[in-house]
Amino acid sequence: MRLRKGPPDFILFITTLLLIGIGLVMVFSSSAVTSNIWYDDAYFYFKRQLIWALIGLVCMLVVMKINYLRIRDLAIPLMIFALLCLILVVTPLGIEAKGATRSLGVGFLRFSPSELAKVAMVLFLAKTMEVNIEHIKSFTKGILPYLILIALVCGLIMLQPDLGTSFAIAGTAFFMLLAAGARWSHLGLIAVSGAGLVAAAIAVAPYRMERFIAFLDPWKYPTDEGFQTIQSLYALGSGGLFGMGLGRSRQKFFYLPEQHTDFIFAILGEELGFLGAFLVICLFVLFAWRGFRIAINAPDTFGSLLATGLTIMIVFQAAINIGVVSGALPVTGITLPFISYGGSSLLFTMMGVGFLLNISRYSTYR
Amino acid sequence: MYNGMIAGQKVLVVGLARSGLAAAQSLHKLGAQVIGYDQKSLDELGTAVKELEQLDIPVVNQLQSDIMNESLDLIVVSPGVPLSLPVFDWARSQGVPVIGELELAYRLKNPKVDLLAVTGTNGKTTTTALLRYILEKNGYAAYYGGNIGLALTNLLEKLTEGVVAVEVSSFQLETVDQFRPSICGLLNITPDHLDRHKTMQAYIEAKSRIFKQQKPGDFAVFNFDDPYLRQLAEKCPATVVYFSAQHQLPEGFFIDQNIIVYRHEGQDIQICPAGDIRLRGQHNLENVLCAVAMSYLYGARPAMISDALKTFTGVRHRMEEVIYHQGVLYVNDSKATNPDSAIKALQSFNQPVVLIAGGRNKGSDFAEFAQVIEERVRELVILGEARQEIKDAVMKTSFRNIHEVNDLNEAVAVAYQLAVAGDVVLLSPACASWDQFPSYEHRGDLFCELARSLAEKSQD
Repeated sequence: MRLRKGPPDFILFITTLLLIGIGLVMVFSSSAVTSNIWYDDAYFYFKRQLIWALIGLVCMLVVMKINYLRIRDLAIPLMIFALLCLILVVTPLGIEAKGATRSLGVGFLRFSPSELAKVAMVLFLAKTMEVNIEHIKSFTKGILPYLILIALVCGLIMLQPDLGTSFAIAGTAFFMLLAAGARWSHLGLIAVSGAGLVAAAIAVAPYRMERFIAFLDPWKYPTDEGFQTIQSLYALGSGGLFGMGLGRSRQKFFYLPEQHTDFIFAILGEELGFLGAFLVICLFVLFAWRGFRIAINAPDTFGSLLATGLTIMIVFQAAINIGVVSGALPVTGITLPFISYGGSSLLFTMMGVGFLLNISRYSTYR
Repeated sequence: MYNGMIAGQKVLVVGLARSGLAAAQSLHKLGAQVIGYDQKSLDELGTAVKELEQLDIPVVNQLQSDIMNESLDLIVVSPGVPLSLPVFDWARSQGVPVIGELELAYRLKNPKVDLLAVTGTNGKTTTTALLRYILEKNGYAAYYGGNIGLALTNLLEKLTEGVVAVEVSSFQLETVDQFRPSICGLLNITPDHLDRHKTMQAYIEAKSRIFKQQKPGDFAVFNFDDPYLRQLAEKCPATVVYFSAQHQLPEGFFIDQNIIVYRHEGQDIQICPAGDIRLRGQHNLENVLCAVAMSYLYGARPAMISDALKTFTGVRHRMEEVIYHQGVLYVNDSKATNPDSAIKALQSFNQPVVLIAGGRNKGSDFAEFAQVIEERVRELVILGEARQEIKDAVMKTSFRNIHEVNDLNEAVAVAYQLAVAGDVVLLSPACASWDQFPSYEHRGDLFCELARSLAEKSQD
């Protein structure tokens, strides 16, 4: 019966820990060569990722203990804070790296507002959709306010610029609208106009256009725009069924750029082969199953929407990343949750899992 | 737990109508030494005797001293049998436990089967049916027990798992002992307009038996809007959860900004929009909130509750509460095509009833029906082919408030004139509809239409 708090979803917990464990190993393996040369310390990235993982674990366990209904009141302040950070990051306060301004902070402490924005957005949508659930079928009352918000958040992120994260946030919001019961006709309209906007974003920026053309046939541009995809495919290809063996990647020797962040999955495929890559995909599928199960069995609308949003946020991003790495999608610069190197991404993702685990404690089906 | 203990016991079953018969059969199957007893003659009992004789169960209509002397272990009473019969005085003096069919069914229940019980003066059938429907939508093996369908003993002795939503009348609660539902719901206690204070106390007392055996960890769902129930809740050993169709509660189920919420430990748990509710009328709002609260506490998921509310339009033609008009509740029970189910319908009301009955007799005997009419009906409106038969049966009792009419139009008009605030106008014909209608659905539809048009007319 209801209201007797049970244990959190064990399978989701284990899946998450496995993914993070694989991530730590792969961050070390993929970054050791470059960090040894750049920082004279093969463990440079690994140590940082390990620290973030430990912080993330503590946060996850703390969040797991807090009744998720209590964070409902945080939704609006957190969204405002996220928007402020997104604005700050495009002012001179933002820290520039590789042609884009994506993080805030001082010295060693840096964080990416867009990672915060992802979680804040899911929380905010869950809270407001709960209140608005009876208007969700109306366009002006139900859908339009969300479209404006999505446009605002994605617009700010596009200023960094970061098409990948914008797309991930918009996609998550789209699926949350779907889960909340929006009309198919409205959703279709959003999908079409969204696709139009992405197309426009690609057409407007020459580098995106080049990437897109390169995506269609990377072998035509093997030295510039197609380079990354080709190197990624080399990595996956040489991995074969069983892989080259852990630590034995060749592509990580300065062939494949972003080998410990956006393209870590390629190195994983190279070292652990199809089986290793397949295992990771299976873990994400398992994660999706448990996440949606928690959403379905959540004791209230808010919990259900929150669980849906968090699960989609993580799984959707994983799907895009794996799509990019395997050449099925154009290069967008998006990380693989739990596995890619990146402190704030890991931290916020793990907090999201903490919420999921908390919601699972209140479901009746076990 | 009880199944084993019943073997070899000597059990007297009093009252051999549908559920008495079911009880006797179940007890026999479990190895009890059963004796059937009914005041009616063997001829009057008809098929019941034959079914029992096939099982070698003796049926008597007089309690000779030899039966009484061979110390009985248990007496099982059918619903509808007055507890004032001498046999019960004797039982009390001898210390023989007397239990009702509900109690027996409960004792036969498999421990893996959960029991959710609903009681109240009005709305039991709708609430119980909705509760079962929500649970079914949630993927539970959910069953209904009560006025419609199988006798509860027949249902519970077979089930090995699942959940049963049971509709329980105060009458049945008078003969329970161990009965302990996992969750019970109390809808309302309508004050008796005849102001029989003592009876009212006894009635409230009987209602409290629904939760008497509950333990902390069980739930008892109370209608906050009913002052009697609020008093009663103080004595409840289970976790009390209120619902209210009128107020916002600090803890409990209610409607806030058109959304059904459960406020629990300071947090509003949103269940679903109130706009999902398809059942009409204020009284149905109470029924819905009660069913939602009970199913939610049992473990139903909000999305599935929402789904169920969107598609549940009530149990048509079976204790269907059509409308409240000038304090009178109009109930369509057109599906009651035999005296047995019409008796059940009558027994479910505690307030005075204006009964519309008649149609084509399907070969039933109206004697018992007439007795219940005498007990529970204030005015009787009869129509159709069986009019004279019913009248003859009723004239054998002391009841004289009989009104003969030709058709249903006239019947509703007469009933409207006779009913005063606090009454129930009940169409429960005890007969088939074929003399004047193609089916009982047509009869019920016409009744609903007539009742609603009464309300519309007076609004002009």
